[in-house]
Amino acid sequence: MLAYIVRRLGLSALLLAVVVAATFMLHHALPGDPAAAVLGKQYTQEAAHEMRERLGLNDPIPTQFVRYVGRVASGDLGRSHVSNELVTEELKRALPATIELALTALLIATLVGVTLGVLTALRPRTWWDVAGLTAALAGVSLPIFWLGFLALQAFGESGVMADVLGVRGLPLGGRFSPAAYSLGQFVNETPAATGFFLWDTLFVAGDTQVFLHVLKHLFLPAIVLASVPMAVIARITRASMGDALLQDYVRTARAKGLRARTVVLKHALRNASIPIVTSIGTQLGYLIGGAVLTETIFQWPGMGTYVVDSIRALDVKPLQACVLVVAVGFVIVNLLVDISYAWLDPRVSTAGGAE
Amino acid sequence: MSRSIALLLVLAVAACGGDGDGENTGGIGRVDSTSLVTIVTADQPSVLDPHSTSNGGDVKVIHQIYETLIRVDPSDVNRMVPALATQWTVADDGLSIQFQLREGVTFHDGAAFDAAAAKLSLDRLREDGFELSRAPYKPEFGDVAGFDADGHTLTMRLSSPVARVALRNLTMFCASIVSPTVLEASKSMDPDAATAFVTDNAAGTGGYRVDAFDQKAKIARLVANDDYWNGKPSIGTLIFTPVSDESTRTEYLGNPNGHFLVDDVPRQHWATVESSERMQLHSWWALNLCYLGMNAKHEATKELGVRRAIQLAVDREAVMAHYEGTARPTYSLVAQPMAEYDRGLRVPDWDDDHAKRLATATKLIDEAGAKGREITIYYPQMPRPYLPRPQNIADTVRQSLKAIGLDARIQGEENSVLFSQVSTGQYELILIGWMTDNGDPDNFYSPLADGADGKPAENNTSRTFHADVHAKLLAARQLSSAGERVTAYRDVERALQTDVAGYTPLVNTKQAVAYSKGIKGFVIDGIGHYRFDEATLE
Repeated sequence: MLAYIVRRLGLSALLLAVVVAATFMLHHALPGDPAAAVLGKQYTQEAAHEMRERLGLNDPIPTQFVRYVGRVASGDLGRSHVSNELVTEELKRALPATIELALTALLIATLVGVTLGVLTALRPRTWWDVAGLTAALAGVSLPIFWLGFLALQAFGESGVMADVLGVRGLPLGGRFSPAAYSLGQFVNETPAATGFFLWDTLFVAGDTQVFLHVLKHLFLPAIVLASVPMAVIARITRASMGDALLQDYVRTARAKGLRARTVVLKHALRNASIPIVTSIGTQLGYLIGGAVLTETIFQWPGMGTYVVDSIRALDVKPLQACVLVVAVGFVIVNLLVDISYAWLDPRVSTAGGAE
Repeated sequence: MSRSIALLLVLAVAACGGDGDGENTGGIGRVDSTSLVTIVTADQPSVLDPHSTSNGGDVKVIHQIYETLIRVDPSDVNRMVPALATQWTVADDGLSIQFQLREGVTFHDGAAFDAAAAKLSLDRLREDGFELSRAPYKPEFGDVAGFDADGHTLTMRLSSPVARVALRNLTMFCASIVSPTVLEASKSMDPDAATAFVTDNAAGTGGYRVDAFDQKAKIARLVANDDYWNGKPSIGTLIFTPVSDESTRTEYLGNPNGHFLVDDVPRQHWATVESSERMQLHSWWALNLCYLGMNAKHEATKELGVRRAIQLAVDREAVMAHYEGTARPTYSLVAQPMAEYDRGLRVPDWDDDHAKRLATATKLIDEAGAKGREITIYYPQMPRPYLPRPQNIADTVRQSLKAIGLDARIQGEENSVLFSQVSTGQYELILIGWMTDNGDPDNFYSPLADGADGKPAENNTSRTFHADVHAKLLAARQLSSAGERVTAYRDVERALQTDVAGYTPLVNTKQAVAYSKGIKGFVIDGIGHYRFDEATLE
């Protein structure tokens, strides 16, 4: 098992080196002149030359690359030319926002997806099955921006449900309402705060009212973001469970007179879990990197919004940092998924070496 | 598994018990939201340093925090009214302006406002004794020789008698006066750090002060300034919420929970707002235009005949169809609401009959030997207030050019790339627009049609420097009589359209903000800047 983990770590390190080189190339592959973006209305050819000099863009590419690697290694991701702030500081705010949203979405997707998958696998070719598969198909097919728009129209503050039921709808966006709480200052000024608002409000401040307020803000974006992974997880669970339920050991377990729940959850589901765990793992990577649309619709101040803002302003440093962080996140998640295989199915680690 | 979840829940609930009111140290502060307006905008505010930004999202916040010496009269865009200066006198030779400044005014950080404080800000925006990472409005102050401060009297010295333009420039947000304490402290920092410092410590004299500003968390909360010289504003809190997604932004129009001002409302929703019970629409003809720039130095458009043919061929009515009834055809570079706009002016060979015009244009193309010539119209990919559907509008213009025998194509570019393309002249035709910052005709002609030292200005789309036009503009800048000015600028426009033919004005558009009917008395001027210090809630 240890050798397997070491081998995986080595591969991950190699992958990271490629990622660093790729993010460096991003600077040179993007259309437009970063100097022009910095200068805006003030653009002149002389000013642009001076700015390129200041940004180090006139140096030979290998020199720029060595400088970049050195900086990344020391944790210096540069400064945004829009806000003049250190990118690392900005990431400290954007990253927890995205992770919180992604994990909540993943939790919803996993709970609903696995349940839906198991139920449809247990009752193949019944209306349960059809309804479940239709829901999964809808989840995959409906574009996020459309689903987000529908969700706001139905459950938002000015939505249909709020009108019909005479209640206050769910917030239209943001992580919390700055009109209600100084949550931003609280997080900035409290050393124990993590930037994960659910955690900070509940465990650091111990304030249930604000916790519920944050939860309300999280609800719609998380549901919308969960739609695609939920559908993927449901379909994979159904297929994998369908196979497992036909295996001899399941028939044996049933023959032994075990309770149906035990057979399904302990015998079938655990054996069917490798593809499910893989899909959950890859979905997490997708959620962190792919929350751009959801974040834009719900003004969620996370990585997606950060990337979009940076692209609009041709702000290269934050863009490089985001690609780097998302790629590193992906690598780590994949590593954890690989390691979890070994735990779920010991054959994986002992049969290694052949790939 | 289920047992551990239950345990977690119990733990969570236990943690919530007891001191949940947030009053303990490190607790989460509650905001008094009884008197609150939420301002929903498309652009994100990021820099609260008025001397170093040109971003629309920043400007909206800056107008609430900082003040200028004089302002544009909200009821008449051609007039100026006192703000931090109570009166001003232009010297007989036109080479200096003396301002009497308001007494008893303090900045949000407690510093006193006087002529020395004003001088420090006005020097900084011109990078006189300061270095800025960006000084977008420095060129506008090129005629300023310096400022002299004496108690509450400030004298502005000019290197040429352009007092009118200089006064107009002082109404721009970039001429906002920032606390001298903040500026002195920022002086020794490197330019980027100084801008960040001014943003973090934003202190002006305006009706609102910054309560919380965190651009990445998208929070900009302002609260009423208790010591405002014009009396504490009635509305206690302003929240700026940037919503870049158009459909989400329009959701706020129906939000029943509170008072809202929704900026950048898509044109197709204006009618809905006008018939809404909750919201009302304030719309006005903006000081802008959308136009087609024509590069006289480019191979494809170098003949005057080709450019004249394009001037005749473009179908403004078809372009207007993309604006949902919120645009009108325009025929001069200067914005139509301004006195200098010449309603009767049309390009040479103009005929009111569209078919006849096309025939003339086709003939001009044939004469220039340009029939079937490949010609590209470049356009910005992101919409601008004067250009709501860039690609569709570009395509409409393309069809007009096809009709006179040109092989026209369209090419979208990322906005910042396109704007930097203007100064390098890498285009033949460019769909672009302009919105004035100060309401002076010079703010259209100098950047868009003039230049200096024999070279065109950066934003001059014709890429030509015309000595005669330049001389006329220099003379026009020095005129202070309204009547003479109108004649002079109309003369400039005629010369530009006939001799240079470097642009085709297309449309002038309306601009609008939607706001809750309960908000009363908020001030918005003809340039589109609004302030809440005199507003009340019902």
